[in-house]
Formats: sequence, C-alpha cells, structure tokens
Amino acid sequence: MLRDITLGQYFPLDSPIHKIDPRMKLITAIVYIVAVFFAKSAVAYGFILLTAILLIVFSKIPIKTILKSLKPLIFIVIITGIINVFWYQPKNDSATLLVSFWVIRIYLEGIISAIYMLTRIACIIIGTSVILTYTTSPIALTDGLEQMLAPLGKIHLPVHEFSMMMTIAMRFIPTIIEETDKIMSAQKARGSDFSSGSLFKRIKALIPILIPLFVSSFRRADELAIAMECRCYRGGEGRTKMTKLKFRFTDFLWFVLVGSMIAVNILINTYLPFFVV
Amino acid sequence: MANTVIKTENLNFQYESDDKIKPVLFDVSLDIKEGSFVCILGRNGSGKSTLAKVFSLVNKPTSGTIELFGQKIDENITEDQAYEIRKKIGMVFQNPDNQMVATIVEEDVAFGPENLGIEPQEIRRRVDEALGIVGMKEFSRHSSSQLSGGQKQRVAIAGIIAISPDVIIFDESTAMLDPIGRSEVMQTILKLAKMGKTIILITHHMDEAVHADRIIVLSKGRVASDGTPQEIFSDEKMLEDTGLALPQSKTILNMLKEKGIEINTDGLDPLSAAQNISDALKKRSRI
Repeated sequence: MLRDITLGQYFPLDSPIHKIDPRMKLITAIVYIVAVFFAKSAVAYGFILLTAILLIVFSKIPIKTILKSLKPLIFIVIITGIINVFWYQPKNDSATLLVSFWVIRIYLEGIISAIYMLTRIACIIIGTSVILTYTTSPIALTDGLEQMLAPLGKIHLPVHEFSMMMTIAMRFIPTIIEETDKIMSAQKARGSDFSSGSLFKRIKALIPILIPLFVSSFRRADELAIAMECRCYRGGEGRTKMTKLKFRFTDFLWFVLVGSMIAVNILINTYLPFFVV
Repeated sequence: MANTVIKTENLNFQYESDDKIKPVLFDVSLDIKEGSFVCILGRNGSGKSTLAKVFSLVNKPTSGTIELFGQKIDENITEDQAYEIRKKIGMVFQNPDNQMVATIVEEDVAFGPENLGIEPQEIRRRVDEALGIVGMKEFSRHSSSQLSGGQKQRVAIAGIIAISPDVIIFDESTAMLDPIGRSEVMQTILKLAKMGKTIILITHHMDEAVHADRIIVLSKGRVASDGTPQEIFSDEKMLEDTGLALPQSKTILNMLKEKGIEINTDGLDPLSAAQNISDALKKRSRI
C-alpha cells in the first residue's frame, strides 16, 4: 500500500524538455505561472491551454499520468467553480443576468470567470509538473538549486549543506517507506490492528510503528555519517561535480519561448479582448 | 619486500559512555603488508568490526600505537592528515542501504571522487571504470531502490574503488546478503585482490576466509591466531577454543576420513575438496 506513493514522480524519458538545464527549468516554471496570470481575454485563455497541451506533447509524458495528477484537485476545482458562479458580483450594469431566483443570481460573466479560474489552475499544475517534477531528476533539481543559490553562500548561508540534505532525504524516501512496510507487517504479525476502532484508537496504533522507525532512522543516519566520512566527505569546500551544469543555446531559446508567452497574452488582451471579466 | 600499510602495537580500545566503560580490544599487535589479502575472522562480539573502525580512523585507540602508511595516529593528528589517510583506506560496510548517498547509481559512485575535488572528466572516467570492475555498468542510470542487495553492495564497492584507495576494508559486507548476492560480492573482492589492492576482509563465514592469504583470528578482543588458511584450519584446538567452525569443504573431508576412508583432508575450498574426493575414489577403484 505504501509502495504506491511515488514521490518526485520523475519520468526518465528522452524529450527536448528533459534536456533543459534544471536552473532554467526552475526559472521558466515561475515565468510560466506569471504568464498564465497575464491571460484576460477568452483567446488568451485558449492560448495558455494550448501551451499546456503542447508541453505535454513535447515532454512525451503519458496523458493518463497528467490526468491522474489532476484528479485530487477535482474537489477544490468544484468548490471554487461554485463559489465563482454564485458569488459573482457584476462590476457594471452590462452584466447579463441568466437566472434570478430568490437570493440566487447567476450571471453569464460569473460562469465565464469560473471557467477561466479552472483553466488557470489546470494550466499551472500541468505547466509546473511537466516543466519540473516529471522531467527533472531529483538530483538534477537539487544541483540546480545549489548552483542558483550559490551566491548566498558568500553571506555564509549553508547552501551546500541544504542541497546535501535534500539529496539524502530523497535518497532515503524509498528506503524508509520499505522499512515502514516491514515494521507494519511485523506489528500485524504480533496482533496489532491498524484498520478498526475509533480515529483516536487508530492514531494510537501508529505509535508502535513510529518509534521503531525513528530509532532505526537515527541508526541509519549514524552509519551514513561514518560511511560519508570514510568516503572523504568534508563539507562543500573544495568539492567538484561530475556533471557540471552548463547553459546551452537551447536553454536560452526555451527561456525566450516561455517568456514570450507573457507578451503574447498582453497582445491578445489588447487586440482581441473577448469576454474579459 | 612489500611495505607495511597498517601496523599496530599493543593496541587497546574501549567504548566509553557516561556510566560505563566497555573494553573491546586488548593488546592487538599486527602488521599488514601492501598487496596482501588478509581475513580477520571471529565470532560476534570478538571485536573485529571495532578493529576495522580503528583502521579506518573512525575509532581512536585508547592506548597503544597504530601506524597507517607510516603515519602515527594519535591525539595530535590533524584533520588534513586524517583526510590524506582516508583517501588511501576505503571501507565497505555491512548494510548497503546505509552507505549510499545519492539516488542514482552513477551519482552515488561519483560522491567519493567529487569530495576529492577532482576534475569532472576524470570523475566520469573513474566512475565508469569502477562500475566496470564491479560489473554494474549497465545499471549506471538506475535508482538504488531498484537494485538487489548484492547489486547495491557492488555499487557501494564501486563508490570506494572510485576513490582509488590502496587498502579496502570489507566490514562484514556480505552478512546481510542472500547467497547469490554474497557470491557476487565475494567474486568482486577476489577480483580486487588480484588487481593488487590490499584487502582486509572481516567476516565470520569460514568459506569466505579460505580465499585469503592470511587469517587473523580474533577472540574476545585478542589475537588468538595468525597464519595461512591451511595453518588456521588445521589447528582444531584453537578453533574449538575460539568457537569457530571449519569451512564446509573441510568438514566434509573430515567426516569422510572419520568413516575410515583414506583421503587427504587439506582441501579448504569446494574445488580442492572435490579434487581430493575424486583422488580418493580413484584409489579405491584401483583396489
């Protein structure tokens, strides 16, 4: 059951998006979110939806996985949708009233703004997951972060230590999950029951799992520290990297491409202002 | 004459915690020559892992002296001197999971050379070479959680090879593995011994110990015996005193002899035991 959790969800495929420098990906993920918020007219929303679809196509990530990742958000999406439809307050008199019943007033603009909101949420999730989590290995991501934050090291912030912690944490996620599974089986074999009783009882049943898990994690940490020392680790100073990150021409092209989305949205908003709400 | 890489004299060690002192090693005097394949054999709690940790500078001796590569290790040793020695002594631990730092195999192997501050191309070369030696090249982009125990342990060995130490200590590196994993790791160790690395193999498996040039038997923190496998496994009184068993092959040969079969009981590994048995059979058929 615990094995189903896939953290990081990296897909080791070979696509143009996979090849982009992780630092550029971090930057462009933010730029992409900004660009999405620039959309105002219906055409602009259509445009950002198109870019999200293009991202999926170019990353070669199976569409099924993307839809699965959107699934947990359905609840949030429905709630925000309803709120947008029912609580829409017209800004001026030109708003078209569709339904007027008791205190409920539904405007055409309310429905449109709900649709816009949904498009925006979907695009942000698709955009960031395709640009970052699905196409970048965790190590590449922490490496990218380390190098981007390197200037902060000059004011004595522990940048290297931070990225080493992230690397080790990600390395041990599957190990700890496996261990939790084992301890749970062991406790079940001793007759403990995790799936019945009141909520309080169930939470209490987790204590015999957590304690051995903590103890063994500390032991692991101790052993890992010794092993790292034996492998000549002595902090970030004087350390080199096997793969040096280097910006290539395509990385800049990618940046320009994503950045130009903002410009396109502004142009569309100005010249094709359909259904701006 | 080969150089002495590790030399201890009257080495004592005790674990000290707040309220109790637990002495572990007593009067250990040894020297280990460059290029040799030494096995440190002993039962659980005999102090063999503690000794390995003294060799790899994790534990500092309580009294007595230890010299690593001619450098005396005492209180005054600087961090830099310790670092220079660590470059020359690699250690592979028991649990493969607890010695891997990075998720991806090749990135983990690169951890050691990265710490040394080597040029990226040279790191790349060393990583590829190390993965080639342990036979894990095709798994270089795999994540460690997809590997079996034996494969993980071979990656850990590659991580040490990439630092290119002169001495590699295996601290019960096969203890947590299944028989297949154990034999994979043992093959790798034998390969490294052939390549001229000094190997210190710590184990309680007799069948692994027979491959060494020299066996040091530890019992209750003292050196109980020191000699070639042939000498060690002929000294039945010492083995009984220290609570060690004979290798399986030798046990079988002894059992055959007990049954009144005329047989040479000197075979320690399966191959020579098989040879001895076939010789005995030939002799019999002639009669």
